[in-house]
Amino acid sequence: MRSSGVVPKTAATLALGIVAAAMLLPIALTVANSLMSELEIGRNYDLLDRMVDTAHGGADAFAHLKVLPDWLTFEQFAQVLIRSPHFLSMFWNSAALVVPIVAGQTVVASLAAYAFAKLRFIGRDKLFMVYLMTMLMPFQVTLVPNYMVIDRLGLMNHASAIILPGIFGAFGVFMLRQFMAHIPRGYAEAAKMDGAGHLTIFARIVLPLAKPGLSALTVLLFVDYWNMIEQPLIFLQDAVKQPLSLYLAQINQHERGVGFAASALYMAPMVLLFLYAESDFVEGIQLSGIKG
Amino acid sequence: MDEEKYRSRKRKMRWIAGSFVVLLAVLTLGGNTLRALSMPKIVTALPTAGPLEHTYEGSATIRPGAERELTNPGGWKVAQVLVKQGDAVRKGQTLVRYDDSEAAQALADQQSTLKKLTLSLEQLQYNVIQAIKEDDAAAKLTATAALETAKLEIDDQKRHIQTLQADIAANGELRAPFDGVVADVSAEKGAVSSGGPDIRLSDIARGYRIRLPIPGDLASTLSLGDKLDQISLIDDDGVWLSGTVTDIEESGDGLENGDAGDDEVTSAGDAMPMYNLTITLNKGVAAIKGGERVKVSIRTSKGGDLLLVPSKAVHQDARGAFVYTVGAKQGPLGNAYYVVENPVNIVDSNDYAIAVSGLFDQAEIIVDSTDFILPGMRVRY
Repeated sequence: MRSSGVVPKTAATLALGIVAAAMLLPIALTVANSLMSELEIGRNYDLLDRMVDTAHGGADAFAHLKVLPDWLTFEQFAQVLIRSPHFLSMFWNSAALVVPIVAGQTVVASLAAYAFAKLRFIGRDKLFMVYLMTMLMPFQVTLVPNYMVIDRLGLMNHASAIILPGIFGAFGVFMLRQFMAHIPRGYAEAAKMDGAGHLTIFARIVLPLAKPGLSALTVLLFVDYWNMIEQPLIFLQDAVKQPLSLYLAQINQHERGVGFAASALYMAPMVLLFLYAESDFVEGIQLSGIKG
Repeated sequence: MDEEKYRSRKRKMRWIAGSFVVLLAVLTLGGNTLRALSMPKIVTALPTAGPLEHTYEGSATIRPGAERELTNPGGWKVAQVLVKQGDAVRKGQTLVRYDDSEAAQALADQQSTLKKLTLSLEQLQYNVIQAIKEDDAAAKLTATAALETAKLEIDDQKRHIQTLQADIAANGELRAPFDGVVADVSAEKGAVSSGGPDIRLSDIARGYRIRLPIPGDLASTLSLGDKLDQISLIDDDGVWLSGTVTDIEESGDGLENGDAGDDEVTSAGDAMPMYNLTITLNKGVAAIKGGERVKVSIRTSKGGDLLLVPSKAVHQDARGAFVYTVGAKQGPLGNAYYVVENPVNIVDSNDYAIAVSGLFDQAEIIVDSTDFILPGMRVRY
C-alpha cells in the first residue's frame, strides 16, 4: 500500500515542480535580464536579429531565454534609480496611494466585518449581499458614476480620488467577515459574560484572532492597488502624480533593459511583503475560504 | 524552534524591506545630486541693456587736404631744381628753373633780323625821296610800296620778339602758385619732362587728412561730421590729434590700395565689406607737415537700449542665429534645468558682444559649458 503511493506522489511532485518552475520563469527572466546590458538584451530578443538569423539559414528563429547574463551589470538599475527621476517619484506616488488605502480599508473592513459576522441586526444578510454585488462588479461598470461623483466632489486629479474609494472597498469586508465567521462565538460570549462591550470584544478578542486574515488582506490589497492601472489613468491626469504601475507603459522599445530593471524593482515590495507575511497569509487564505 | 525560526525570518524580512525602503529614500533625496554629477556644468549670464561699443584701431599716414601737380610749362630742359621734398614754399617762389638758351638764341636772331629791317628802312626812304625828286611816277610807286612793306615786316618782327620774350619770362621758371609744402619732386637737372608733373605741391591752407579702411559695421555707426579725437602720432605718443569725418565710401571688396601706405589694419571684421574713412584733421597742430604715421582709435556706440549678449553665447546654423538659455521645469523632485534654444536676430556686433532682438531680458543665457550641449539636455549650474 505504501509502496504503491510513492510513485504517484513523486509524479505529482514532479508535475507541480514543473508548473511552479514555469510560473517562476518570467520572474527569473525579469531579474536576470535586469542584470544584463541593453546590448545583450537586444541580442537575445531583437526581432531584427532573429530575421537576420533566419535569412542566414534560420539557425535560430527564437529568442534566447537566457537566465545567466554574459556580463553582469547594474547599469539598468543605475539608469532607473539615478538617471531617471520619474521612477522614484512614481514609486513614492504609489506608496502614497497604496499605504493609506491598505491601512484605511483594513480598519474599515475589520469593523464592518465584525458587524456582519458577530452582530445581529435586521437586513444584515441582505446588506452583505449588496456588498458582495458591488465587489463582483468590475471597475469598468462603475467607472462613469465614480467619475461623476469624483468630479462633483472636486477630487479630480487628486490622490483622494483613488484613496477614498479604495478605503471603502467591499473586498476587505467580505474576506474578513468570512474569516471572523470562523472564530467561535463562545469567545465573544465569554467576554460578554465578563462585562466586555463590543469594542473590547473586537479589539481584545476578534482582532488578535483575525491576525492571519488581516495579514492576508493586507497582502492582497497591497498587490491589488500596487498594480492598479485604470484608476490612476483616469483620475490622475497629471503625470507628476501618477503611480509606478504606469511607469512601464512609458518605456520605449529601446529601453528594454530599463524595463526589466524597473519591473524587478516594481515587484520587490510585493515580494518582500509576501515573504514577510507568508505564513499568516496562507493561514488567512485557508481560513477565510478564499482561493486565489 | 519553529517559532524562533519564524521570528528570525520575519526579522530578516523586516531588515531587508527596511533597507530597500531606506535605499530608495536615499536615492530619492540624493538623486538630484547624483544625476547632477553626470550633467554638463554651465556658466550663464544675463543679457545687458545698453549701447554696443565698436572699437577699432588702425594706422594711417597724414596727407595734405589738397595737392596741385605743377608741370613743366614750356617743355624745356630743367636747368636748376631749387626745392626738395618737404620744403615749405611761399606763393610766387621759384621752384625750378628751365634752360631757356634756345629761346634766347631765337630771340637774338629775331632782334638781329629787326635791326636789319630797321637799317634797310632808311635806304627805302631815300629811294622814295629820289623818286619824288625825279618826278618819276612809276619809280615813286615802287619805292613807296617797298617802304610800306618793310614797315609791316618790322612790326611783325617786333611782335615775334615780344612773344619770345614773354615765353622766356613765363616758361623759364616754375613758381609756387600758393603757400604749401613740396610733396614730391620729379624734375631732374638736365632732363626734359616726361609728361608728368615736375613738382607736386601740397596746399597747407586746406589742412591735412588721413584715410583708412574700416569694417562695415563700424562704418555704419559713423556719419559725416563726427568728431574723432583718438588719433596719435606713432613716433610721438604725446601728441594727440583730432579730426572730423569728411568722407565714408565703400571700397568694394577688401582693402583699398589707392592710397599707398594708408592701410594697415590691426583689427577688422572677417568678411565684412570695407569702407574708406577720410578724416580731416583739425587745424592748430603746427607740428604736422604731412607724411607722419598716426594711430587711430575709433570708439563708437550704436543704439541706446540694445540687448547685448557675449559673442560666445550666440550660435548659428542654417536656420539662423540662436542662443541657449536655461529653462527650469518644476520636476517631481525639485527643479530641473534644461537647455532651451532661443532664436534671436542679430542687430549688431563687435568683437566680444552681439546685440540681439527677440530675447527676454531676464533670460539666463548659457555662455559656456563643460560638455557639448543640445536643446532639451539637463544641465547643472
